[in-house]
Amino acid sequence: MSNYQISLVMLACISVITVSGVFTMTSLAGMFSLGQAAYMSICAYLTFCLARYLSLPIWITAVIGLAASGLIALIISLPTLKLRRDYFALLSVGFGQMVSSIVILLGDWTNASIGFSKIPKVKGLVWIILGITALIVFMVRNLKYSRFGRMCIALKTDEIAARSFGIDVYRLKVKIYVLASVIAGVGGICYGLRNRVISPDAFDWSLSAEMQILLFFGGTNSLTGSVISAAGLKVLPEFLKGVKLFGVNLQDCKTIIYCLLIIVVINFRTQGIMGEQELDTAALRRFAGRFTRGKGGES
Amino acid sequence: MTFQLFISGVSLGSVYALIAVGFAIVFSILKFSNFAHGGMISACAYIGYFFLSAFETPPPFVVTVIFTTICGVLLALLVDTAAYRRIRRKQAPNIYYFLASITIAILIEQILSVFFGKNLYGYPAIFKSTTFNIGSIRFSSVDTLILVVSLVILAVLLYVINGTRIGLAIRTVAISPSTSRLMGINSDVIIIVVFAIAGALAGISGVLLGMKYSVYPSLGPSMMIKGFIASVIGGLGSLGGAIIAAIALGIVEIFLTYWIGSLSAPIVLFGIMLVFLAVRPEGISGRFAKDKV
Amino acid sequence: MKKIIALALSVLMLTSALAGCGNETKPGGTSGAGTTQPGSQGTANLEPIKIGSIQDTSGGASLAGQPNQWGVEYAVRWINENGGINGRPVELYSRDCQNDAEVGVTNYRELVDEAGVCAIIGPPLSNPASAWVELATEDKIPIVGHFMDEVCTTDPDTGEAYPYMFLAEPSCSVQSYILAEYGMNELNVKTVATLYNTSNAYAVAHEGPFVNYVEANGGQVLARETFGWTDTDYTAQAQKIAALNPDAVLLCDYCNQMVTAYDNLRDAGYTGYILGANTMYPPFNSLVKNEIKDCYFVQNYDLSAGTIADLLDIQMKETGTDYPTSNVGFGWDACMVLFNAMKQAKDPTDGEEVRQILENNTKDVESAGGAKITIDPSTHRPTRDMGMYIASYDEDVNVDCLVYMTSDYNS
Repeated sequence: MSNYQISLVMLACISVITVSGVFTMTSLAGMFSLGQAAYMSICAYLTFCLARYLSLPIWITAVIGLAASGLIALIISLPTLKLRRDYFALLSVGFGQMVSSIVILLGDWTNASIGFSKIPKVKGLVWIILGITALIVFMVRNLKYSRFGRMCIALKTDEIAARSFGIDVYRLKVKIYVLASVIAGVGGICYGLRNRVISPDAFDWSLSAEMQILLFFGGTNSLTGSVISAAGLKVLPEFLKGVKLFGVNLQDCKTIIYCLLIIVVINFRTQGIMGEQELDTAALRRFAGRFTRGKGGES
Repeated sequence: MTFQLFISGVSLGSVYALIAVGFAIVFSILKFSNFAHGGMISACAYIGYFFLSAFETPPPFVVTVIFTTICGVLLALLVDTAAYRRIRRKQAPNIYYFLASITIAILIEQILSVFFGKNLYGYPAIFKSTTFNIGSIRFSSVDTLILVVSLVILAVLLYVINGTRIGLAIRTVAISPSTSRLMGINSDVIIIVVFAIAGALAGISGVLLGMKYSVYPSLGPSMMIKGFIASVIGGLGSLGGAIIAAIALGIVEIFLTYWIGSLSAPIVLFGIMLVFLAVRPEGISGRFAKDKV
Repeated sequence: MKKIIALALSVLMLTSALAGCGNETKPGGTSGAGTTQPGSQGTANLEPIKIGSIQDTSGGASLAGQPNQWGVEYAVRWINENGGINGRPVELYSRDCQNDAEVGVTNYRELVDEAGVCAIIGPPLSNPASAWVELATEDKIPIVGHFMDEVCTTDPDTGEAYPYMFLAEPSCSVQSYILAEYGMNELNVKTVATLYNTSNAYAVAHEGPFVNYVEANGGQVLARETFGWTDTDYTAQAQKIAALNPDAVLLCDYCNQMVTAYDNLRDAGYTGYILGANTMYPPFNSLVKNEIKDCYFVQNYDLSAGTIADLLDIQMKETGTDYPTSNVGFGWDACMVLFNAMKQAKDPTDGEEVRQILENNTKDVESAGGAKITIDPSTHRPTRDMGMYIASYDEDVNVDCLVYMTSDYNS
């Protein structure tokens, strides 16, 4: 495998990690946030700045960074999750802007918008990132099928009904939010390790919006769907390089094509490409069964 | 100085108000923040500019605004047909509108920057002087025009919504689309009317913002966040509330920037929003709308 | 009907995706099919030399990136029509980094690993460039570009040059020193204020050295006002500056923000000098609503004369651009520096050898503006011989290049 392919794998993995984080929050608990990229930023900056200025090994500072983003998520969630869902979405945007302002204010350490590029090199990074991705996806999958996950889905479907069943909605939301933010933090660290430079505007609200779009594209209720769309859509632009159609270089139009694709899916397959389906062995068997039975299986 | 700052804040707020009204009118019916509005503002700014520059002797300002408004309406209907109609048919949750609208905003910005982004454009100045003085207080000509236009738009919209039959229908659909259908109101048509109104607003805003700033692809989208904040704080779906909130946001922002600098302003603004929403969750207007996400 | 449209759309998208798979190896921009002269040198190896170009052609800085990319493409066309690199044609692979470090890394990896380029022309953006610093060293790929921020070419901790990064125009610092020097010596400026975009690396990298110069030379900095991407209006900052009434105000950001900043300052009643970075070139003059006066800025080239004038003539015709932009020259200059080194190399595809020559033997390469580019081996940036013009707008708001200056100042 060439380094290029490796870097694409890492690109896809980072996207999968961040989208899994959003999955726990949006798909399980029904919270919609446009500020998750801010946690990537917090965690990445803490990890790499501490590693540089305190000369600590990166895995220690990564733990500090993750703990800090969890803690900040807790502090932020306590007041904001008491509010209505749309206010929460609004405040998440404000939070994102606040974090990038702080990063710039601390420019003496973070190097502000010029970008912080003193990121240590990690050997065998692709295996580490693949491992982390697998771990996180596995964890989120288990979460979805656990008692905790079912409680979340109850909460998402009907908050009042969930409350009447004795579910402490508020605490549950806080837990999920902290978890999602820590996962976003992991994504932030991986982002930094791959790209070797982090800058405040790399983590603005449009990245958060992109994560949400990828999630809905794949299917809100399907973890495999979101994983597939997170990886697939992120790598898609690579296939458009150097292609010309009607004299227009498609490379420049990659975002346009990407947006059109999303509009088409949202309109024609609103539930996302995978809908409610999960791609697991049972589904594969069903699919194989339908395939062997020929076209008769389709209705 | 303080009073001068206050006036500047009102000026800035009037720019935000123009955008927030566009957000609020769509919100009042469909209960989602139409981020595509920002993209449409940019597109309309370009349309207006190209219209102006297509003539040897530039047509009067009013003609440009009318032409752009018509284009804005058409564009809004196009966006509705392409991106929202199917979602509506499927009665999908509002979150899908929200995502579609963000995607449309990015799409329009990209189309503009890839195909028309080679040049920056500027509208010819319509005022001889960019500022005028009343006493020792300095007013910006374009901002004053924008404020007046925002207020006129508000008055017209309030009349349309509260004083006409179509307004009654809009209010009914806003409360419940399915019930209004039972009452013999074609809610699809009403929704299209609302999008058309939003498109017209985008057309007017496009020309005004193009005149105030220069014409570039992220002209509208860069102000979406501010419009979003104003329309939510104003009370979801309330037009008057959105304008008051927008002007308040402008004033707060100007004072914060003056006192503590533009970098610290978002931090304090976050705190203010948090406290405000916790203390007065129904927004400035006091009208409660259903959850939108 | 709608279904048909939808179907057609999806088919179109599918085919384009498939076409992408099939054509991956085709070059992006203008391919190097130019007229190479086979008989130029006896045992000529006629295999094309592959170089890459990474520019922002669709992101936030595409206004500068598109002319930059054109400059690179034209330089490649030109070299191929003029005998190539010692008879070998140059093949260009162009990629769009969208002003995003993440995309930039992917672009870099693809060009190096898949396309197999042996050198890269970089963008005038420092975020993607700083991501390539270590990658380029590992892969031995020289990168020549316009990442004006000094941290892209020298390590801020040690002051040593990064081995594979080369800058082909005066750095942000040099540009700011020249502007500050002109202000303090010619305009007699004693007190200054700055108004700049803290979210834009380009602006930050200009503002710091400017303040540094002014303070070191006995001037006084009264205020350092800031704004960000989501701010659309700088009235509060402008009024603060107007109240302090400094002799000069430095503005730096991209052109459309400069326009707003200039208008806000004048609207706030400020009447002193306004100094600007090189984004104050046209269309600034046609966008500003207030009268343009007492406005001085740095300019890389005198756009009305020399190679740059010819380049702009062709570029404006080919792309339909309304006004001349210096960025065309940036792309051209970077290519000329790279081609100059490649011509001297025994094997122009050997990154290490080309790097050595770029570092030690880049002397008096003629830039599009006529200045001589000599790379300083210790910084990998042009030596002091490459300066900047101080320009202003005359009564008819046309650019008027007043004086060509170089700077000896060093912090």
